[in-house]
Amino acid sequence: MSVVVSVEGLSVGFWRGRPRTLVPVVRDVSLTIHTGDIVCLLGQSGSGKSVTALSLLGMVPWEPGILSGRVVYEMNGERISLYEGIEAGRGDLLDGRAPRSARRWRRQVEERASRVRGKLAHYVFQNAQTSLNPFWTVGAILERHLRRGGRAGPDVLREAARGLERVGLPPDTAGQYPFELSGGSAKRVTIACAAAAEPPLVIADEPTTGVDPRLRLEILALFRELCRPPRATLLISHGVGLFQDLVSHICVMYAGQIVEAGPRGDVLGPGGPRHPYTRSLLLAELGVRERSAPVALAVEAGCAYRPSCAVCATLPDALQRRCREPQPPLAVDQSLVRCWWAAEHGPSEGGIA
Amino acid sequence: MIASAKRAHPPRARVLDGPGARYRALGSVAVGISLILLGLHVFGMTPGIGGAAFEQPSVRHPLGTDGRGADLLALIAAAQTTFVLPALIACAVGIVAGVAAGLAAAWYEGRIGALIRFAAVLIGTFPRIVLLVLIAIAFEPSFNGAAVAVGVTFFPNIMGEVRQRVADLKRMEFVTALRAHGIGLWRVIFVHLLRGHLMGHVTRQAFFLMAYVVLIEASFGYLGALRYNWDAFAGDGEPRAEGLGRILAQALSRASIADLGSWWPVAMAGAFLVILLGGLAALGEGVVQGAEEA
Repeated sequence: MSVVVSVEGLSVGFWRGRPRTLVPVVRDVSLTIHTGDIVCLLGQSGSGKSVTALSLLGMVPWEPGILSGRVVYEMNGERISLYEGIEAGRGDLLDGRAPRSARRWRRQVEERASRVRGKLAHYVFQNAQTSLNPFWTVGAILERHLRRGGRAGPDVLREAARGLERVGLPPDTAGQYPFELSGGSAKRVTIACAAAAEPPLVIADEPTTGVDPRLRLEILALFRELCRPPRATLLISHGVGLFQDLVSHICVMYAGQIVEAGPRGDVLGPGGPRHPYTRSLLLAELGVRERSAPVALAVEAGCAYRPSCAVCATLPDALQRRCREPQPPLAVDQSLVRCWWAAEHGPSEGGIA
Repeated sequence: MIASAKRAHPPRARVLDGPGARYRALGSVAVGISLILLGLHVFGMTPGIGGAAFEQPSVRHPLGTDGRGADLLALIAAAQTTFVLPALIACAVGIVAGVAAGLAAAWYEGRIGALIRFAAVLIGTFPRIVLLVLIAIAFEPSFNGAAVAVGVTFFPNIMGEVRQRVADLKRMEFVTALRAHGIGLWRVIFVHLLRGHLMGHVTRQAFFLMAYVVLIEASFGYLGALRYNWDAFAGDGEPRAEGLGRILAQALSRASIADLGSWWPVAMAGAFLVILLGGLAALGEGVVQGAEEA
């Protein structure tokens, strides 16, 4: 399996308040997605999942945005690195200035990202209805995606009709406008668009959020179709329950960091989960509530989950001090876990999911 | 399905159907009358002196004659030529400058946006009529120079509307989605926002601007601020094209109503002015109502 995209040491932040303070929303995130992988980026609201995904397309909307790290796409021998080798402008952005070099930096990122967006990676937005152009018909929207996917000629409209049928919509939906569709139909249209664009990587931002359980299963079935190898997929979700049979890898994010990452079997199987937050998240899906504290965006060094951590709370003070130390990801079996005690305290008995 | 898929962006309201259809129909009739009159003038109806002064409406002179014995229908037809080109010039200047400035101010909210807004406020605060009179005098005998000034002074209206709408639209998720799907910035701005969302509003502003030009031209003509109106009579005594304002001024200056009971020169020219202004305003309103519904 070849690498589609690799993210190394990605950190993203934005300015807040006066005097301005830099708030990191994504911190030192690294992950690699291979062809055929279905990676689930898991975490609660505000954990940095969507920002990480937008960074993959060079679309972080704030200043200064990308603080460090790189995102590298590799496809058909072509290598596109979004944030690499243009450090000078980024330095100006970080200083809070926006001189010419910073503008050049943004332009360069934009130029590189334009080779990725819609071609190598397709983003399926969370809110389907608002993400479709209300002034274009579904047929016209699909046609545009088909053309971007390399299809041309008079057959494009027939292809659009077939695309709609594949997602369970009648062909005459092509003549409707997005505001004329129900929420479920709009979701199907966005999935049809992703299929039409035929990108090597699909990024789906919480595709099953806000839909009824029956439709959720239907969307899941459509994703099974969409995410067939060699296509790689990054699924962003609050919970893994629905996707647990679909995904190959799971990355769990908390306060902008990946706290646990590994193959599905390691994270959900008998050996996992190993991070207390992952355990808490999975238990919450089963209706079990653990103690929790508000997530602090600007955290001190050490484990951000410390105030809510069930493991840390049971440790003697001398050992708790270690949780305040900067913490590299530890390799445990095939997983990487950001917890000093992952190896010692071991996995949950028999797994959770 | 193929036909329905071709029902693409943006949905266009038909002239005599849907919201605002009455406005569009009324406006179309008014503008149609103006175009027919222009056609009559272009194809040979010239305002020569062929009748007695203040002749009543008749088969020979459907709208009667003025104090010089000139056919009023031919005079009003010739008057179309005095504002058609200036209206087009003013629209070109106002729309291009207003749309470009509005888009730039909305998209680049920083210094560029502030600078454009400041320029608009500066133009807005300058007494418009003084500016127009000065430029009209500077560029006389042609009204075209004043038309440029009309376009410039109208640009803050168009800029304000475009800026507000684009600023609202650019925060909508579909714009982010378009960018994420690889659509270039210029294509998003011009194809998806301008053509898709703003065309109706820009068209309305264009009709309002045309009405404004007609009104300004008539006002200046009435006041005698335009030289071509002073030169309305050539050396041979034949009247050339003169604006609606000048026709009104001629009729009133000869005290036609009070002395002779000849009401028609004032009534005909005034009615046509009202019909044209109302028609342009109605057309603009009808277009925007249709676009909003669509």
